[in-house]
Amino acid sequence: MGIDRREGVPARSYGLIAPATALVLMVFFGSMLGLFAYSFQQFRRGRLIPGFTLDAYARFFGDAYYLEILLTTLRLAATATAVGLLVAYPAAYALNRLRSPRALVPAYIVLFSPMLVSAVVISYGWLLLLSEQGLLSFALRTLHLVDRPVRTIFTFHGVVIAMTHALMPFLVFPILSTLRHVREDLKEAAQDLGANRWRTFRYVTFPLTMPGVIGAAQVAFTLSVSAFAVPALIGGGRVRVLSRQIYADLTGLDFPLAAVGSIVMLLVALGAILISNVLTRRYFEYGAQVR
Amino acid sequence: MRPALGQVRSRPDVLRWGLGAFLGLVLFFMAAPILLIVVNSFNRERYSVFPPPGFSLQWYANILSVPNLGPAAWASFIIAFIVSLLTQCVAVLAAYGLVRFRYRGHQAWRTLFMSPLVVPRVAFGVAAFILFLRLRFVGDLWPFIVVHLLVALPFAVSILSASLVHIPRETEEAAMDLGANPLRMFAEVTLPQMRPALVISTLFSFIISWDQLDTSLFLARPGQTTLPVEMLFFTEQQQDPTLAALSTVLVLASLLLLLIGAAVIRPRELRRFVMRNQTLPEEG
Repeated sequence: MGIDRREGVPARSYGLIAPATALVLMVFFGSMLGLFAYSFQQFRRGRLIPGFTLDAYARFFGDAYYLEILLTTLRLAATATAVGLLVAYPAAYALNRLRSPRALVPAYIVLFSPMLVSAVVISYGWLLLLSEQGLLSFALRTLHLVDRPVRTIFTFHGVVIAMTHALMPFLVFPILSTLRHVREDLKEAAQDLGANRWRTFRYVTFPLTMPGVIGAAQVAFTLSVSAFAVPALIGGGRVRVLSRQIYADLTGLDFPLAAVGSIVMLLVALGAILISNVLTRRYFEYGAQVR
Repeated sequence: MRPALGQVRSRPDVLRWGLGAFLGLVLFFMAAPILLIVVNSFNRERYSVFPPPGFSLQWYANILSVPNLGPAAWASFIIAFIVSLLTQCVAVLAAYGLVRFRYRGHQAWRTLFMSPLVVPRVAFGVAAFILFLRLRFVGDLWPFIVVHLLVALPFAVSILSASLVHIPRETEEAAMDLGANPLRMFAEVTLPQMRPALVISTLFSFIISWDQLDTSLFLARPGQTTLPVEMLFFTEQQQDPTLAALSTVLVLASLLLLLIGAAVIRPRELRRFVMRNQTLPEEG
């Protein structure tokens, strides 16, 4: 039962993974290579000039405008991921304690809902909520917390809120899965040794869930860095992110610059993976000690 | 409430109610935008004000008169349909290979199939656009299909391999012992046991393709767009409640898909699936 490994693999069985491998290698990696190739070309006066040059990179990194966009994108992704984690972990913890499927299934559906609709729908919903005449403004005024209509769209915070919503399924479900895998007898052992609930959580449960949390955070961060619809619609022209700029460059036929932007985005994502791997290894060692 | 044997005994108290309230708040926060969209779709006025001044169904009728939306929706449907089927074909093979055989560098293969998940979709969209341009692989729907397939592949492989892990090898070996060749064994023993996962993976791949925006945006050209892209352009230009009406229809369609999926999977299988929490395994 479970994963059964045979000794020695028949050559024929490689045929099973051949289609997937071919697709991923040819299309996915092939296109990435093409991206690299294009980033080393020159774009002058509206025309593409072949030949190897670092011109596009210089134009990207030499421009304070682009650097600011990069900074905004990183800030946005980090903030959305952090807020998302703060919301998702307790929510996953609460879900873990729920035992009845009748309560779980509706909760799952609601938490899963951002994946059922496109980012445009999510953004539009938040536009309605956060605009001056929207629900949030109305609620704040009715509660007399403010006396004028409040506009949260076209602000950094508005984008963070909407992004957190979109990230929820990508955070809650992996964290929940990790929580489920924490062995009960470890918690019991801690309590037998005299730890109260908080100490049990802090020294047993929480560290054991760290690898899963870090993994979820990495996925969420990558998705945030790449997000297009939410920053474009909720941020308007005020919150400028890299994805939007790449689109502008590509539409302006400046392929090299768009390629550089995409590569920068890719490097950021790879950096996030690197960091998450390093952090996980630290926590995995800790978890191994507990086991 | 008596804790069962072996369960950690906990005081039913502030923590339990606090957590419950927090969860309720989170769920409300997540449902609010969608509920608001549904409410606004019946708004009498064009301008989206809360609370809405009156009731009207005009925006639902207006959906049909928005240019480009119809062809885009149809294109999205065809693309998603083909993607959902093709992804399963590729993913089932890959998942079976990964789970049942120990390839050299097993982890590397798995990472390979998961790699589209790791790369920012915008970057992938741009890269694919450039690649297809150079290969002159443009026009019609195949660029979208290929890209969406790759975007959905990690999810499908994840779901299917997680399901395969729980299918006892003994059932397959028994079938072979009884004289079935590998193909028959797979079709009559393995696949039926994978049914819930297959259904979920197919629906999930469909939805991923249907809602895919970040990659489609870069593959789209005039006359060749998908529904999310058209909706994005529409939302940027104007925000009248036609969008709310369309969104409501789409949300209902997604829920309908969910219900169909739940109906096809027998209740017992679904319950097992939910309790095992297989929806988004992120391993490796």
